[in-house]
Amino acid sequence: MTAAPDRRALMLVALGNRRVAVNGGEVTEIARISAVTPVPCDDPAILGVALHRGRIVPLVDLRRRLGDGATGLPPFLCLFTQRGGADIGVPIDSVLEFGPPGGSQVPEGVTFVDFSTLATGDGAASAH
Amino acid sequence: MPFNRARSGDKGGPGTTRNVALFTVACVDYAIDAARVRHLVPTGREVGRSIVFEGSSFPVIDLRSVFRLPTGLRTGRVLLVDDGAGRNAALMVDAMGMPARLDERTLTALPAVFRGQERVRFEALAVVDDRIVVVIAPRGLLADARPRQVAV
Repeated sequence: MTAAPDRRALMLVALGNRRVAVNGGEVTEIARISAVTPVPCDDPAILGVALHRGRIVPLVDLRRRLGDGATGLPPFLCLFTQRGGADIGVPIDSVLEFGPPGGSQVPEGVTFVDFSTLATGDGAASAH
Repeated sequence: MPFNRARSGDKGGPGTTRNVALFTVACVDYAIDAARVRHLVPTGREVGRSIVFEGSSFPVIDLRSVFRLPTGLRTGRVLLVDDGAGRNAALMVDAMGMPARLDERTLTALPAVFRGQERVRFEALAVVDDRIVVVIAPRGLLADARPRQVAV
């Protein structure tokens, strides 16, 4: 799946019992990851790194960032984004919708996640 | 630079390679500069708090403990290493792998999301035989893992 040219469009994904909205224009790819290499680190939300298209990509556990427990073992579906030239992968359950009615408006009951601060742990905010 | 480097003569390329020793801890592959490895303790040898080898003391460091991983069975290997700056350590690892050469061009800097002590302990990531290998920074690891000595 490739990114939509419309940077205003939201992508809705399922993550456990939660619906999460991300900026669809920042999603570079969605792919299945079959293996993760854990890298001992201080941030428990970093699952490790995975080899994706010949590149080593860190995976961030959004469930843990949101306080929803922890992602299980691979394989899992992964959403990839690129920030500052660096890739980050985020495990998800499924893609629900891309470009929902309302454009950039976050639907009721959906959690918006800002990729720009995902790596530092303060990128999620509930939408109303 | 902490690593032993050699110009690779094969394939006619200008690449630089690093000779490394590979080992595993909790099913994760690690690489350490081969020049930093002083000795591999034979299996079955009892280890205490430190090992004396060729007149030098090597404090034992359990990498599972340093990495905050569940304690494993005491059936692993002990690798005597130095950091090239006067520190020694006896690293307890799960298993040793084959020596390898890492091509500099295959090394990936630790991604920016890693912002903690791991930036001190690890220098880079590499791919060896389709597996990701964590490249140890010997100075950082030994400085970070050894108990601090307090002058009195």
